[in-house]
Amino acid sequence: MACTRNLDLVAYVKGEMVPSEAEAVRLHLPACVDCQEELGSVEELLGGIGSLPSVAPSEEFAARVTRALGADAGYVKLARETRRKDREQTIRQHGWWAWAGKSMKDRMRSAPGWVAAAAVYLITFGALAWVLLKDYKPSTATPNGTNTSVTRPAPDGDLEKPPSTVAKLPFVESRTSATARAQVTPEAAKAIGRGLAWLVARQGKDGSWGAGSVPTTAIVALALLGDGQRGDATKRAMAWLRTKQRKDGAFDDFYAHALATVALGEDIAFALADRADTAEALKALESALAFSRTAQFSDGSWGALEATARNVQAQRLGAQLGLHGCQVPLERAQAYLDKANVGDDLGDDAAWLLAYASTGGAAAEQVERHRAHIQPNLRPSGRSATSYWWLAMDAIQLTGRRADFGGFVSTILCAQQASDGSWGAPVSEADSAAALLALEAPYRLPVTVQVK
Amino acid sequence: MVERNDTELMLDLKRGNVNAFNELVLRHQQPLINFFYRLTWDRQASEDSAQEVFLRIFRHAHDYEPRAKFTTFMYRIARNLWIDRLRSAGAAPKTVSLDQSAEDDDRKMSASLAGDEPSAQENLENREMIEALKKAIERLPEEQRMVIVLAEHQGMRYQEVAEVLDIPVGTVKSRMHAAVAKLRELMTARS
Repeated sequence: MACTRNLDLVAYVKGEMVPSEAEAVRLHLPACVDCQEELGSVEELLGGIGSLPSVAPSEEFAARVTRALGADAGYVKLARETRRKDREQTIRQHGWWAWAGKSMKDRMRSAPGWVAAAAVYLITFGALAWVLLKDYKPSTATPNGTNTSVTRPAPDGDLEKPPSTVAKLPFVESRTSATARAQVTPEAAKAIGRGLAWLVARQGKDGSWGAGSVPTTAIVALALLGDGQRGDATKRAMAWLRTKQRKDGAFDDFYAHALATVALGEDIAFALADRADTAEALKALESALAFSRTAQFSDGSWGALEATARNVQAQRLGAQLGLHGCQVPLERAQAYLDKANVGDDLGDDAAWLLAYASTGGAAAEQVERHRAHIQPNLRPSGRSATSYWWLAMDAIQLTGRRADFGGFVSTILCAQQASDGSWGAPVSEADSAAALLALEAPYRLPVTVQVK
Repeated sequence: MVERNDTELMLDLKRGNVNAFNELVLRHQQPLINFFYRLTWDRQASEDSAQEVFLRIFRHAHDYEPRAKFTTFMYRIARNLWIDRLRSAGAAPKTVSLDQSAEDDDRKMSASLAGDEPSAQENLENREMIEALKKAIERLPEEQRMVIVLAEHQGMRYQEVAEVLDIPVGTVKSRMHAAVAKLRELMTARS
């Protein structure tokens, strides 16, 4: 190069010159062929460097980083704490079913693409198959040429019984039994009465609560049924819920779906005990249970532990009512729970325990381990606490350990109740219903797993 | 929802929110992997190194002070890791082969090199040119190569390159100038 100016044309091309230097280059260039050639060469080279190959991260990269951190105790602790805060914030803003639904969606998102695709396929295909095959009975030709219907073997073994012959379920008896109801303190009984009256007074004209919310209506219906109330408010709520069921049997997200399904099942259990007509309600329940089964993940869960626990409760109820196909999902759920990695968190431990007890699982060591985690984590603060109390009370009631902290929870909930009978700040129908369900636990749920 | 910037995410992580960390990984995985890819031309090794950088970021989050941009903090860790690896036995940059490049699914060639619909002959020439350029960059002294990668591939301003490498901006300028001069010389000698 003949030009002696020794200009930094790289800095010029990169726009890294101060304005006065850049201006000097601009003025020099038209008169200098050497610098023009050099400029072209620099631009070409930098363009070439910029066009060298790049790579996209492999699909699993982010998950791999998280897995690598999984061995880091600090990360595990932080992840647990973050999950707890996340959960509390979501619950505070949207209700706990939103948390359960979110967890399920997160899980779907973080799953490898083929897993998510397979899950969508299975849910869609399963629902379609169920719709097409629910009334199908295989036929065989008899020697004389006529067809005769063949009854399929019952998948649930001895659970296979027509619902009409089901004996009174234990909870139906206990919810109306004076002896069982005497297990709650007079203060708690009074709080339950006031709370239910407050809720009934707020029922919408259409029969719903929460201005047409499936989860809120389902949980309030559960609180009413939990107290053995099957009056007009309960009937209107159940009728409204049935109108919200989709053709594939689903109600809302997995968590809300499970709550509504349990409410349908409990309502039917009462109706059977009364020898009332259950045909329409049974159809809705069978459809809801079938949807729940198609929505079960291949690992045996329903996403978040709370959603799993409530779906397990629904299938358990179906099995108790003698309906087809409810035992297999319970076994799959139990296999999942045996391996599930649950952190030291009140919600997760209680949900695990509730799910496990509902599957009929009775491994004392596992039950004891999770039960021991619940009590130290109970904190009588926070708006979302009532849903924790409900979960925790269900879990310890089912495992026969209500004495551990049942009285403590009852005292706190009675103290937290507002003078109008509600709970929550701001007042919430769903939180109030959850508080009632926690208070009703002693007579609402029979002990399933007796742990010494 | 308003997207939080990197500094806010780091401070959130410092306060104990691992979701913030996951967000940072998703946001920066591609440029970070490519930082190492431009130094090694080995995808797997690049992902391994990027993973290590993210682990170091997590472990040093409690020391993080928002004095510098997050990317400066991140690339400083990445550059230190690269230096460590160079120093360790057997971690010298790999020589690039044509076969290895051919395996790369995500390659891109700019229109300036490849044209819109290149003929087979043009493709071959472009490919040869890319390989020649890669090899030329590999022959640069390490400090010049690092400046080229940060300023050209990662698109950093000289000031940020200076902060990452902890050198004056003037030094970045002179290294960049020297690197381009050397590359032009190598590419001219090839042709």
